[in-house]
Amino acid sequence: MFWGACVLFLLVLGLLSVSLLRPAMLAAVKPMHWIIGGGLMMPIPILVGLLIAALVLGEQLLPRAGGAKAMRVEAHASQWQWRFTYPEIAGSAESDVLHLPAGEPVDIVVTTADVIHSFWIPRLGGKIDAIPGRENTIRLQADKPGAYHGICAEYCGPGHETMSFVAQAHDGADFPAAVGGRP
Amino acid sequence: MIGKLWPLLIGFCIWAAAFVGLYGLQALGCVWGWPEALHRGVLVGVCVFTLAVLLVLLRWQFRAYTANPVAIDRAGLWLTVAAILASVVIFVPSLFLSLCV
Amino acid sequence: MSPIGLHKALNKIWATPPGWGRLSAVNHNILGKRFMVLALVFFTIGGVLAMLIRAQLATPNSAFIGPELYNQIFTMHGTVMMFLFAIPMFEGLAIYMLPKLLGARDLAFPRLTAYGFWCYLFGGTILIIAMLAGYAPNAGWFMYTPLSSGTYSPGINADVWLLGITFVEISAVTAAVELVVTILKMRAPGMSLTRMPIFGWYMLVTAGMMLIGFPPLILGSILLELERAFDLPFFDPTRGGDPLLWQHLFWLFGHPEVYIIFLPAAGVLSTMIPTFARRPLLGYNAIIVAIVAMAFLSFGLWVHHMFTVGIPHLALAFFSAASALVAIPTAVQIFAWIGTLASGRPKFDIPMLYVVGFFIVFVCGGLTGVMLAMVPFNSQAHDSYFVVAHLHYVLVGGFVFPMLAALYYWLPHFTGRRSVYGLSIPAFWLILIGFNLTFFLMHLTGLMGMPRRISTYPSNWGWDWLNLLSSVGGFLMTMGFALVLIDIIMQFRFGRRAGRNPWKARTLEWAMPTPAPPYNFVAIPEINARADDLDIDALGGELAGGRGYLAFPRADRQETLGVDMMTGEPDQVIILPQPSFLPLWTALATAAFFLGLLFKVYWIVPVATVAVVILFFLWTRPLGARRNMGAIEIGQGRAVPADGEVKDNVTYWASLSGIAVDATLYASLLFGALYLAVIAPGWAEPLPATNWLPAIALATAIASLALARRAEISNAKGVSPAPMLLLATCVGIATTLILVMGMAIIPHPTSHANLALRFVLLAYCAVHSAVAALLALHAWLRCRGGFVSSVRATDLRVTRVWTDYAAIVQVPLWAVLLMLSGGGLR
Repeated sequence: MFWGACVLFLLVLGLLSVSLLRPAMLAAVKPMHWIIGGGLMMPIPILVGLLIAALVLGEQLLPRAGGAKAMRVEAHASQWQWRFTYPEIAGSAESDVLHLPAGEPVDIVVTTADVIHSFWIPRLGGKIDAIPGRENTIRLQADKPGAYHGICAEYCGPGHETMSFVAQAHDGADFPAAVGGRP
Repeated sequence: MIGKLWPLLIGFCIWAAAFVGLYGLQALGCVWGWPEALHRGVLVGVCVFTLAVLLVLLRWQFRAYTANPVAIDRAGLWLTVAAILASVVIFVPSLFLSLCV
Repeated sequence: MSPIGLHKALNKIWATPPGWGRLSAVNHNILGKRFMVLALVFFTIGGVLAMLIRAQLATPNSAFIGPELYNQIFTMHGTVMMFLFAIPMFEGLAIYMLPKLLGARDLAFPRLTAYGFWCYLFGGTILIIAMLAGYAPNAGWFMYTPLSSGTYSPGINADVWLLGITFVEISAVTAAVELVVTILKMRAPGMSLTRMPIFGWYMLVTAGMMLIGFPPLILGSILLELERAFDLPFFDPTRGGDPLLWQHLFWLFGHPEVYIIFLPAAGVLSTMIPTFARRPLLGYNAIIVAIVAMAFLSFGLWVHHMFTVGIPHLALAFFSAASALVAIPTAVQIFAWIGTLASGRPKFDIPMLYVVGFFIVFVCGGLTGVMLAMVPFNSQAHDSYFVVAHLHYVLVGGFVFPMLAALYYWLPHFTGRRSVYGLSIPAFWLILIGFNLTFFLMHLTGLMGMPRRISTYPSNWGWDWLNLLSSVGGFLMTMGFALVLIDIIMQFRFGRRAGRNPWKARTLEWAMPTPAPPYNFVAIPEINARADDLDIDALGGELAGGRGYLAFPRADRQETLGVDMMTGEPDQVIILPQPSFLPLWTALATAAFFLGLLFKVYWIVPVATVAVVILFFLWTRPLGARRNMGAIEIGQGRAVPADGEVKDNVTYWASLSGIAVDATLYASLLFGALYLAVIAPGWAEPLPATNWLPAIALATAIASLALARRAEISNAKGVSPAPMLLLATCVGIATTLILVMGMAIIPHPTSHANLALRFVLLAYCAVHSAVAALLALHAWLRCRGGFVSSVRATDLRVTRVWTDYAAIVQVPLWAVLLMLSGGGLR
């Protein structure tokens, strides 16, 4: 997408500069061909192709019920902190650090106690808003064990910038212990 | 008031009505728990119906234009073509994407 | 009469009185400039706020301004730039320029222009004073609930935003009505719609979009203010509301808004580029198709601001596809401009520099826009600095650069002088380089994970040097803008005198002396060709010599021509009102209304409402005539009736445009009711059913409708409609009272959104019954004053359409009440 954008940008500006500096080079182009070529023929296939790719990718990222079983983790937002619970791990405790099993998909169910917040771990993927009165789910996967930084992406008042958290991805075997679950 | 400007507006007004209708039916189907086949069937039905109406409109506008070529009507003809294109590209996802996730 | 004598005579009729009389100005020349100057003042304020933001973010862990102040500053920066700079700026340009491009002497409703200006000034002043006093809004320029609701923003700050902006919006709505009517009805004879200069088309589409685009925001602001002030829960999820309803209403306005800002700027480009390419615009019809398509598509992509709120993928796909497709009409325009330049003989001057700047910046913003239209990318980049970069590329590229080009292009029109080149060129380079340095780097900080609206950040995340360079760029850009300002002052002081038409343009605004006289054209021209390809130098001389229509002073009346919408055949003489203090007084009364709400001094509100109504009754006193005039000479051997004596006049058209605005507001309210009934949490428990007694209001509303119709029919037959109007007034008042009673018997409307919705729906209908009653009363007064005859029936027609509307709105009212009474749509 980035390189495509660069090519298009250079194309448009190149045509503009030629038309301003060396109009003779373009005099052979029939006037209406500018609009049909540049305005219709060029963008339509690009946009349709891009849309198909984006929709297919978006479909693969959805947290659907079928397919691979993803573990459920709950993220509770409030002004201005995150707390995480692990309903599927018996005996697990609430934590300020988000513990994740590395290498498997996790469904993170995001809720809020007050205003709108948004759950985002930039290195792991997209974000999802925490909307009062609703539960939203995002499916993420940390490929390698390690610490990832997470933040609140939706403006939520004067403590907005302090509302960050750490997501710690563990090896599958270590994960239950990390959240205090019974082995 | 806008009587004679209708040729410019009618195609996209139909598109807009279908757009709102599809968005509303998609939400209603999820809230009411329609089975997927019914839900998708209704949405696809709306798309097909919209396209049919737009094509009939195009035919009608084309005849009116060839009988009496006025610049405004030619612009209206192109706008209906644009509305058909927009309907195809925008409504086609209702054929295959996840309905309620 | 000699050209000089003619000028003096017309000038005497159209001039604005000096001294305090300046406050009574209604002329579009003066008001257009006032709008633009005030917009530039707000641009400066917004710019200073931006500098404070960049100063704070230049270094990590900065303690320059704390988060509380920072939140006010970024909220005000967005609010000022969008609502107090961008919209009023193009409104001012259109107010000043449109009558000149179309060949009219003023806009359709000069006093409404003035009223809009005062509303803009007072509303903007409320916001700025609140900021200086430390009570600026601080919930972000998009004011998401529940952060902006009473629980989490208890102070006055959010009320300042809601009331101040709604006050300013009055000027946007009045301008939209006025522009639509002016473009459709007030052109030079012979200028059919398809001969109109392309800027007229752009503004017609823009104004049409404003009629539909602004009401959702106004409704959202009213509902949120009702929630904050009177605890009616529309957005509170614990009482059956939904915070996402606010986002829908806001972006239903907010996205079309971007195109509302872009289209006038594109219109400016389509006007200037042919002048500098020295050939007519390529693809006039293709551009009309493109901008109409763009207008519609732009209403189908508001949810792309909400891709991460948890909406199903299919619904996102509709909006994603529409967001991608809107790039096509944009591409059509871009290539029409490049094609125009390529097939012409381009010449360079300062405006062309900014046109090139526009291409560089806007194309880049358009490409990132397509990226953001894609759901997976958006979910990564949303609410990060990537979006900040994108929106500045689009808005600065798509609006500020074309406006700077327009400034240099039309400054000779305002000053009658040429540019001083020494400063213009360095100013351009400073702005272009500074802009790209500031905002290009923000793409990178955004992709590195920096979220929007944080007042500070730690230093170990690799954002430090990017932010520092952004800040440096921001200050370079500011220096560039300061140079532009100095440049303008220099041009006023030292510029060489420019003759008529310095750019050799081919549009009508140059066919007049500069600075423009208050009546624009000594004679109104006959147009026989496309009006952006006229021989201006020849035409200017002819018009100055008085060869054309209405080239004479008559009875101290301000006269201009009205034409058939499609063909441009003249069909009426429009007699415009003289300078008046009424707009100022009315705006002051409106300000009292808003201040009463803001400071919760509620007894002021009804008093101010009554004052506004009485003042508006006074507005019509100088209008109309007490006798039928028949056909009036307009020169060139032709005669047409006065506007009061034709059916198809501007007042009637303005009523219909006003109903379009009002109906969109109501449709948004009905959408809100259905939305909450389908989606909102907390609608499971049973709620009280509706008391159906007030439904007799439907019968009384239909009775007023019949009476208003009867009045019009009997008047056409020469029978006095006065008794019928008096009866319609009484029935209208009765309808209002029944509906108010319906509001009063709703049990605890603050307990649940379902009941609150019934309350506001009834209130909406009650207000409209009251409006219908007042209009019937007004028409009765006009009959008594002798202003109504069988041909002078505008007052009756206006009364009839609003009475119809007041009755029609009750049909969906009772249907939705039935649905709400059944507990929603679950």
